[in-house]
Amino acid sequence: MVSLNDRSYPYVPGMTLLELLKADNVDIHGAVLITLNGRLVKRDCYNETLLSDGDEVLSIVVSGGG
Amino acid sequence: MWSKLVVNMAEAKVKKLPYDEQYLQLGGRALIANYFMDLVKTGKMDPRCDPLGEQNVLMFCTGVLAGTNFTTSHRISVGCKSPLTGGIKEASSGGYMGKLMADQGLRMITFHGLPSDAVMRYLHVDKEGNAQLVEAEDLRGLGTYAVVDAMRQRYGDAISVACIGQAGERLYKAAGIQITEFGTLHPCRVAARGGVGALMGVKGLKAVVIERPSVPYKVEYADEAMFKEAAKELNMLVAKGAKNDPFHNFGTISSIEKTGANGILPVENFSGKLFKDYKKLGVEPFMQRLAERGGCNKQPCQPGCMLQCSNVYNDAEGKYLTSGFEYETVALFGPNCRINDLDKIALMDRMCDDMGVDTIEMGTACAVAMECGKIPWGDADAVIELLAQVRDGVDFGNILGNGCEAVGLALGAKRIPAVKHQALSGYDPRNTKGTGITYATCPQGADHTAALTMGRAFDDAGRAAQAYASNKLQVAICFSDSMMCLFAFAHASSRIDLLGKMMAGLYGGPADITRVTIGLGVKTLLTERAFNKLCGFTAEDDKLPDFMYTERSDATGSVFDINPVELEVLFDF
Amino acid sequence: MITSYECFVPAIMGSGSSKRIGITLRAKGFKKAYVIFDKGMMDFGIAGPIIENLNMANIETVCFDKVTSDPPDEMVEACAEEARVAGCDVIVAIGGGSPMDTAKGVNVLINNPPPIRQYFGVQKNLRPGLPLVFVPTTSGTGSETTNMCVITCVSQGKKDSVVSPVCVGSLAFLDPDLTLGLPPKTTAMTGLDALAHVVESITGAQSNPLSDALCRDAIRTIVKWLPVAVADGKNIEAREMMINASFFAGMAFTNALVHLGHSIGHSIGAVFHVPHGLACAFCLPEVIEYTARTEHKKVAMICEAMGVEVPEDASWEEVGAIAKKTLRAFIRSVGMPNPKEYGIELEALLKLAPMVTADTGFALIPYRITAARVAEMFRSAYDAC
Repeated sequence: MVSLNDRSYPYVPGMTLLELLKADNVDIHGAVLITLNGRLVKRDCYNETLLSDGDEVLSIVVSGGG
Repeated sequence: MWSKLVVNMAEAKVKKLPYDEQYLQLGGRALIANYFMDLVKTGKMDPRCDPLGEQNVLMFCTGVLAGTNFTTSHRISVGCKSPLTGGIKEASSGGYMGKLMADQGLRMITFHGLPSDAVMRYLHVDKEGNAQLVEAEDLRGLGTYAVVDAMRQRYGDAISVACIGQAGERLYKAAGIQITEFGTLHPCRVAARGGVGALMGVKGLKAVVIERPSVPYKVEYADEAMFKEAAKELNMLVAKGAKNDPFHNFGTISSIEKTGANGILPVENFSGKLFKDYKKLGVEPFMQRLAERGGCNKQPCQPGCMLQCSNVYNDAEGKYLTSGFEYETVALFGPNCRINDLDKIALMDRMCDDMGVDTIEMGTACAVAMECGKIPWGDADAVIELLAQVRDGVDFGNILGNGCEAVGLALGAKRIPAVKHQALSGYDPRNTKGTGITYATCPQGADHTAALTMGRAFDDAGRAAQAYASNKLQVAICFSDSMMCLFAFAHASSRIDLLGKMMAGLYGGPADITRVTIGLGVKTLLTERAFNKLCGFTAEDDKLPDFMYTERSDATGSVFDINPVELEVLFDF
Repeated sequence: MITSYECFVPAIMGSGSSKRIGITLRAKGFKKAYVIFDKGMMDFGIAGPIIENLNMANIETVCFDKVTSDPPDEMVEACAEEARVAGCDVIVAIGGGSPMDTAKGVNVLINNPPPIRQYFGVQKNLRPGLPLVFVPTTSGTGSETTNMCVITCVSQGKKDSVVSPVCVGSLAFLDPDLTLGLPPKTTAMTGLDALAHVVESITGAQSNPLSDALCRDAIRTIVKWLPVAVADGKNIEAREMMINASFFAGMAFTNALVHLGHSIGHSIGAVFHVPHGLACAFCLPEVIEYTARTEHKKVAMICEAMGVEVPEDASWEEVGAIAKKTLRAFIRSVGMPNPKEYGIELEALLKLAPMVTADTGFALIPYRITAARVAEMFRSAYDAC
C-alpha cells in the first residue's frame, strides 16, 4: 500500500507519483506541494517519480499567511 | 499568584508587584487594549500625547494561557501607543521570552516615563527572579546579534533577549524589537510593526534579558483536570493539522506559491502585475538550498510548538546567514522590488534583524524609492546599500528608517501603500478584497495577520463574502492573539469550545465560549477602536490608498470595489 | 413541445476580465497556447496585452495573425497545419467572428484530415481537438457561445457551417474594454448581427422558453444601448450591455437556430463581400414581416421588446407590417445604408434569390416560400428608408 495524506491506495509495481495524485484528484496545477517520505518532489518530476511499497505521500495545499 | 514588573525609567527603578486581578483573564492583544484604555480613563495618559513622549508606556506581556502546557501559549506581545500609527499597537512575536516570563511568574512588564539621563540600560531578570536595570553604554550602537552575544557571555545560554538595534536607538518609526528564538538564540523573531523599537529606544532601554529561573513558577488551576483534558485534545488537533500544513513542512515562504499564482503577491510597488519568476523565490529553491547548505526548517520558536515554522538559512558557502526567513520579507524585498535573488533577500533579512527594523516597512519603502527613481528596479545591491545607510544613520537612511510612508512623502511619490501610516504587507488588496477590508479597518493599521481572508471568500478577487470573512476573522484573531499563535489557531479553530473549557479550567467559571469570542474577541476590537477614536482617528482613516480604487490589477483586472457601506458597518456587533 | 436546453460555454464577463486569462489558463494546467487573430487586433493594441498576460503567467504562445474576414477554407487549412506542428495544448482566439470561426475550423482539423469542406453540416463523430478559449472583440457574432463555425469554400464560392462539439468553446472572456475602440460603423453592423440572431431565433422553429427569454432581454438591450454605443464608443456601460446582448443572442440561436435572415446574409456576403451584420440587416424587416403569418405572437413579442405597442386584435398582416416598420427605422437610426446606397445593382441582387433558397439554413425557415418571394423581399429592401 501507499498512502496519500490519510488515505491508502494499493501499490502497483511501476506506478508513478503522478498516477497516485490523479487517482486522488489532487489539483496538481494549483498551489499544491508534494512530499514523498518527507522530501519535496519538484513539480516537473511527478511523472518520472516511481513509487515503492510503503511510501508516504503528502499533498500540501498552500493557504496563506506569514 | 502571578506578578508584574513596573519599571520607572526616570528613576531607573524596578518594582515587582502582584499582577492585577482585573487583568488576570486577559493577555496579549486583549490585555493591551484594556490596559491602555484604562490609562486614558484614569487620566494617566492623554490619548493625543506624543508616542515618544513621557506619557507612553511600553509593555511586554504574555498570553492568557501562559504557564500551561497548551501548545504555543507562550507568544509575547509588545503594547503601546504606536510611534508610527499614533493609535493602539500590539506587536506580536514568537521566541523564548514568553515562556521565560511565565517561568518567572511574570505576566506583564511595563516601562514608564523617560530616562532623566542619557545612559543606556537594559532590564535583567536573574535566576532567582530579581529584576534590575543595568547600565550598558558598552551596548550602545551594537546590532542585535552582538547584543545577544554579549548577554550570552554574561549570563549563559538559558536566557531570552529582547533588544533593539541601531534603528531603535535612532528612534526610527520602522524600528522593531528583536526577540531570541528558543534553542538557537538567534534574534530573528520580532515585534516588528508600528515602531515599537523607537519607543524602547527613547526610553533608553537597549534590551530585556530574562534568565530561566531555578524554580519555575507553577500556575494555579481552578480545575486542572478540566484544563489538561481540553489542552490535550487541542494539542492533538494542532499536531494533526500541522502534518499537512505548508508552514510546518516548509515555512511561511510557501505562501508565495499561491500568491504568486493568482495576483495577490505584490509586484513592483503594488502595481497589480504578475511576477513571472515567482517560483524562483518559492519552496523548491528554498528547500534545495536548506538541504545543500546545512540549513534547516521545522524549527520551533518556542518550546512545545508543533507547527515549527521557523528556519535557519545559510549562504552559498554553508555559513550561517539568517533565521526566521519569512514570506513577507521575500515578497516585499523580492517581486515588489522586482528582485528575484533569494540569497540577496536573505542578506537583507539578516541586516534588518541585526539593526532591528521591520522588513515589511523596509521592503515597501524600497519599492516606493524605486518607483520614484531613487534606485533602479531590481537592484538588490542598491537596496543593501540603502539598508546599510539605515544601520549607520547616514544619508537616505534617516528617511528610510522611518518607513514606507516617510519615503513616499520625501520623494513625492504618488502611490504610497499604507493605511494609518503603516505599510501594507504581502497581499495586494485588489485580489484578496477581504484582506483589503482588514487593511483598511483594522485598528492596528494595515495588518494582514489581523485577518487574512485569502481562500475564505467565494472568490478572492470578487466582492461576495469578503466583509463577512474579514469581520469573523478579525474577531477570531483578536482572541487568538490573546492566547496562542495564529498558525496553531488555524488548526484549533474547529474546536473553539475547548478554548472556553481551558479558560474555565484555568480561571474557574463556566466553560462558556463567549468569554473567549466576546470577552477576548469582540470587546478587544471595540476597545481598540474606541481608543483610536480618542487618539483622533476618524472614518477617513479606514480607507485604502486611492490608487487601489482606480488602478486595475493586470493579473486579474480587479480594482478594490467593495461598497464603502460594508466598511462603515463592519464593527456593528 | 419537447425541447432541449443547450447551454454550452462558461464565460467570465466584465470590464477588465480579459486580464484574468493568464492566471485562469495556468490554473487549468495549460502551458502553450496557439493564439489566432487578425493583424488589426495587434495594430489596435488588443492582441499584444493578451499575449503578454499569458506569457506573464508562464504560458508560451505561438501566434497566427493572418486571419481574413469570412474565413476562407484555404486560410483555415494553412492555419491548422501550423497549429498541428506547434504542439500547443490550448487554442485562444481574439477578435470578431472570423478569428473565432477560424479557431473552430482549426480545431476540427487538428485531429481530422483536411479539407474542411467535407465536414460541412452536423458532425457527431469528429475526433476531439484542443480546448478553445474565446476573447470576442465585437458584439457581435456570438460565435463564442455556439457549436458551429461558418467557413467560405473558395472553390465553390459559397459559405457553409460545420456544426460539431469540436466547435464548442471551453471558456469565453467577455471584456467590454476590448470593444471601446470599435468604430461606429462596425459597432452598428455587429450589433445588428446580434439583433438578427435574436429576431430570427424568436421566430425560429426550435425556439424554446429559454431562448425566448434570452431574446426578449437582448432585444430590449440592443434597442436601448446600440445607439449609445454607436454615438459614444467610449461609453463602457453601453459596451458592457452590448457584449452581454451579443452573448445572450448567441446562446439563444444555439438553441433556436437562425433562418431566412442569415440565409440571405450568407449569400449577399459571399457574392458582394458585404460585412456580415449589414448583409443580414438589409432584409431583416422583410424577413420578420414574412414570419408573422405563422409566428405572429412571437413577432408581437419582438415589437413589444422594441417598445412598440401592438393592438390586441391586430391581424397577422398588421403585426408583420408594424414589425417591418419598427425594425427598418431602428436599422436606419444606427446609420446603416440600404443595398442601393451600398452600391449593389438591383439586377445583380435579384439574381441571388435562387442561391438563398439553396443555402443550408433555408431548410429552417418557418414556412416554404419560392425564390420569387425572396426576390420580392430584395425589391422591397433595395432602396428602403
